Amino acid sequence: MGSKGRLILVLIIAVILILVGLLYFFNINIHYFQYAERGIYNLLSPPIEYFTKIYDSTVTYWKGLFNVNKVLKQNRFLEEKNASLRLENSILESYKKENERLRKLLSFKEQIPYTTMGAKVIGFSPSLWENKLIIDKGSNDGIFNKMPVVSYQGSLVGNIDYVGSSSSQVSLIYDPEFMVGGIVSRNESRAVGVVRGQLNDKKINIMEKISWDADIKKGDVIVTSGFSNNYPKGLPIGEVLEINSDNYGLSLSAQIKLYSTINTIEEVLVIKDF
Amino acid sequence: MNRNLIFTLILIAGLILQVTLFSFLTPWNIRPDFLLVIIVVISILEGPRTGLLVGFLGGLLQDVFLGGFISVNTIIKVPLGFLSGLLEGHFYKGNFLLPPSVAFSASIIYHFLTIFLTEHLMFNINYWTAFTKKILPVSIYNAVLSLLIYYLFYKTFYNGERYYEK
Repeated sequence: MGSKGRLILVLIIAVILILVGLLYFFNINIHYFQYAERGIYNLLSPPIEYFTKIYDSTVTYWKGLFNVNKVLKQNRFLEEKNASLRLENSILESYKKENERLRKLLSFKEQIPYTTMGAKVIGFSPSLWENKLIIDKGSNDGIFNKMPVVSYQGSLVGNIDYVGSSSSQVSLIYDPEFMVGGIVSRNESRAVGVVRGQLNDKKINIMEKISWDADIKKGDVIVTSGFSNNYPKGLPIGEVLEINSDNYGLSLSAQIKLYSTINTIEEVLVIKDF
Repeated sequence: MNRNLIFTLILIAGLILQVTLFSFLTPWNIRPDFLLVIIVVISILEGPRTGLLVGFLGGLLQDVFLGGFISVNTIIKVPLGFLSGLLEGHFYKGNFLLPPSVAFSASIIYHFLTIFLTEHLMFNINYWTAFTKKILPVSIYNAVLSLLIYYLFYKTFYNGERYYEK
């Protein structure tokens, strides 16, 4: 390439980059771009899903092959556990009926269980700075933006951030852009605050804007407050590790150790209705 | 087959591997930037024009997956691909020290530029921790990965020939 040709090329790139930069910085959304974006995303998600399936089955196969004894032992243990749980479940079922009957007698508002949908994690975000999961359920399965996502243990994992036709992305709880109202889950204290992600490896979030005289101490369990319409009340978030004075003593902030260990997560539940 | 088409397919495969395999296999919790590695390696081998193209495509694919059409990654990866491409012709292609060092520096530049172009990162993170805990390990991982990828590409597209120009 001649030096003149190279100069022209550099100029063209500079102009394109400046235009693209302007689009990005002023947050200009061009409609056709969105169609293209969705098209590319929906084309690429099926291969990702297949690849994850192949990867998973290979890993499971090898693990099974080398740990037959362990698997057999575990199977026996789980069968025993299953039997005892079934017994427990039948007892709980009777309690449930009793509870429903008593609730009706007291004319309490009936607690409606959430409508959830299980989803498999098929990938992670391709950037170091964005904490996102890709799950295998999308708009075809009735997933919408902002739906809360919890782990199988019930703790909050994040919320739906982007919906494709057969897959969607979950913005994770420790992303700095993630915010959720939290409340201390103790009968004598109902201190509230805003739980925010901090982007660190220790999976610790910060709870801010707690009133200066709030009754909050180390070891308190923090759950979602349910003040906004985006999350149901009472999803466990984490435990208080440390409390500091914030805002020159006008408020408190707390370090929250999260319950969700997202790196090892394989399946999540999307709460569709609450 | 047209070489640019092959590179496009490689980039798509790279994205799929990055969101799946390289997200599951994470030694010490580090996820490499596989697309950046591919872009750097192709640029070193093919020159600035192809570097520009793969930088644009790779950045775009990554941005589409992060839920924005053209965003930070496209803006940063285009010049990175172009600049790495400028090295083509100045180094002996059998020089296996070049790809790791370029990939290492490109990763560090890429991550710092990402921080400076993203508002919520720029004001919220601790730069020293981000550098030692995230940027440095990822850059080292990328450098190691680039050596492997460069070797594969060099053998496939150049049959291991040892010449300066294309």
